Amino acid sequence: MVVRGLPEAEREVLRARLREAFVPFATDGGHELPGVALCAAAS
Amino acid sequence: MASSGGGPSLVRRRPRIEGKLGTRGRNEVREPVRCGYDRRVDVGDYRRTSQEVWEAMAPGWERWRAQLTEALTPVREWLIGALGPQPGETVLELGAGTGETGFEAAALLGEDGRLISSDFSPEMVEVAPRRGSELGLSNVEYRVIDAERVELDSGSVDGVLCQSTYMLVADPAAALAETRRVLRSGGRMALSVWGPPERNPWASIGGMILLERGHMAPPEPEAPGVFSMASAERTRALLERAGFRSVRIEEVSVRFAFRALDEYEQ
Repeated sequence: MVVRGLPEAEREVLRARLREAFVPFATDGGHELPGVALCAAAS
Repeated sequence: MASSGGGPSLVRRRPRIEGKLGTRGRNEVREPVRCGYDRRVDVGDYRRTSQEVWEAMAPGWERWRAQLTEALTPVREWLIGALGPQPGETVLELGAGTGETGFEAAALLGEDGRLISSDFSPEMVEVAPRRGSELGLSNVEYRVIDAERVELDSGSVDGVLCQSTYMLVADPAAALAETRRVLRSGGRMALSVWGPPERNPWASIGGMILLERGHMAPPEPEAPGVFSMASAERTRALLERAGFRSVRIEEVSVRFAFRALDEYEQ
């Protein structure tokens, strides 16, 4: 939603930064980004 | 968000951003970036904005349901295993979104059991029944429920499921107290929240870039947001303060696959 309100030139800068940040996560079929969830059980 | 001055306010001030996303994919700090933010988060504003955001996100959430469901399989399996739904029981799912986690519980509850699939966003509550119908589930009730003010009787459910929601509510302590209230004595709950940003690039990269470019204020550690319960100690303390005992917390790894960058941008 933040991005939608930005000028196109700035949006292109953001896209370029995103492409750069994604490079380490490249795979054969695209990109895979890891994540870690904290799961809790309680009673 | 600007403060409206009404209601309980969470006044935050942080005049500059500490660092900048590295180019190697990790959230390494490179050089300081100065920004002149004056951060004030009002709880009422936050709740209204959340409603608007989820109203806007509901169609996308439904469109990406299959990919999200696949990526979140390890979390979903952990939650269902920990909750252990039994035939004939009543289980409440809070922040159900497209409903997938609760639907797996519904299959175990059987015809005599009942799943209350809920979300605080009416638009999201319209999404879940479509998937429930596809799965042929007949023991599911769909309701708009705010986790901070659950409109159910005390002690009326056997279990509560909540995936990736408590950290987004304005007052997680209130939401967990409500969860405890609606659970019967001996009832169980299973929740998931996200770990720290540096271990969740799928969720943090976009925000870090917006922050680096000065389009976003840096989040305060305990202000509502994706990473507000990233500390196991905080999550445990919130659960125990809400009256829960026998708290068990484990890390579960996931991977989000994107075929193209514009999938992530959406």
